[in-house]
Amino acid sequence: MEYLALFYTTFGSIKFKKQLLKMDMEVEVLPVPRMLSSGCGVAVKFFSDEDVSSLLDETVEKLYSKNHDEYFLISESK
Amino acid sequence: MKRIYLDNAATSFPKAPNVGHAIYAYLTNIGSNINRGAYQEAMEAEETVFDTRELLAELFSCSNSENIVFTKNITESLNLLIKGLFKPGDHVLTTSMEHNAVLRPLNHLKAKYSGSLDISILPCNQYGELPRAEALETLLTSYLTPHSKAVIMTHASNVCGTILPVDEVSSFCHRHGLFFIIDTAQTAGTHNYDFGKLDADAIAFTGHKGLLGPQGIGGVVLSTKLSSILEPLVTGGTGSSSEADFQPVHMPDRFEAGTLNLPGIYGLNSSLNYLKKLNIRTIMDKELSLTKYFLELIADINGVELIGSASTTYRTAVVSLNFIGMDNASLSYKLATAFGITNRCGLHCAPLAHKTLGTFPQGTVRFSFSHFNTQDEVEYTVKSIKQCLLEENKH
Repeated sequence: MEYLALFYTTFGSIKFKKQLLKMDMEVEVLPVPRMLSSGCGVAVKFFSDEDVSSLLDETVEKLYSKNHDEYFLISESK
Repeated sequence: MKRIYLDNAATSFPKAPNVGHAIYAYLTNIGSNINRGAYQEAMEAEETVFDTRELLAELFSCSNSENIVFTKNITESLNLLIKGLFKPGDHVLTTSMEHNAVLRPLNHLKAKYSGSLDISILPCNQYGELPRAEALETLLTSYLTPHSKAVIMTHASNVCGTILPVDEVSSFCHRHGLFFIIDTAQTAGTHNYDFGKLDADAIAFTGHKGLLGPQGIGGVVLSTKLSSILEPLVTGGTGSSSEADFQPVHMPDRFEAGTLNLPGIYGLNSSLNYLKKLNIRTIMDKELSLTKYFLELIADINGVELIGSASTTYRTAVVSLNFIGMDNASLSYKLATAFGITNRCGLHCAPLAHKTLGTFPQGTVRFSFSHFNTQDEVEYTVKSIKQCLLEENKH
């Protein structure tokens, strides 16, 4: 499954990226697609077939899954 | 004439070996801003800023590196803390060994609040020391009021090198619900100290002294508790939450409006890696060994008065001298011009500390060593001081 994580700050996106790299996951940092919006302008794309909830912390503003070019909001920080 | 640099308390020289190269490489090959783009060079700069926060978090034992906020220097860090925390009616405790970087912002804020900021000065003795153990507890308790909000104090005097009992004061603060704020201008990078045990609410630091980085970069390590109530000193663009009318609440953006000093951060990153590799314990041992040697050699010279403690316990590599019956300024100038010994004469931006030490208003001549100095340089300095005194006595 493809995911896209959005963040409040760029600090959060780099922290998240490094955390995933440590877990040998494939990640890509890219601009937030215009159809979505978040506090910070960069997003982290990654793939996982596991439960991803344990990856999330307070720096992740929103998490989307992507299917057939459509984004589905699956988690949003309050 | 060879230059012997003994003004490391003002700013360190030389810097860590690769600092200049790191700054040059950033300006030449990267040059991009952070928080404002997702292209490769911008992300590379992001990574370096992130890594620098991580290195600082490790140095100051901070578990959340987003709580490391960059400023231009420790004076700005202290202004952020003082002006962002205290409200009219609050009471703050500080010490009689503080630098103007603490005292002036406090005094300005008090004036702004029409006097409605109660500032208590904890008195240090003629060696710049605060009492320890029970005597310290009694002293601190005697100043406590229902409005006491924080203790803000230096870790070590920039005039005479005396290290203050910050761990005991921090413990008192935690037991009495006060914030504890420490100024590490004279200890970060040179004093092997476990900041994790201190559990301070704010550790203000500068990059250009013991951290061996360039001028123009400093910062503060905030506790999550303090960061949640502290008002930003500077507001503006952060590259995040741009649609909001007000500053974002998220760290570190909340306190980092405007473009950061990225060349400075690249330089600091390089110097922090140097310190990590070399080990601060090694630096401290070398500096204190040079200081001990200097103290031993000057003890035998007539007409030289040591200001502060003669011991190397609870001290940094900063030594202040008074030349009895002489103009300190002219001796300081002669050491610099005739012997190439870079030193600093005067009040060192710490008039209250000099009043405490009994050296106000004439000030002292300050020598501050780094681990790059050598025993030969210490010997040459002492020999030069003796030569100056000899020539002065002839006149």
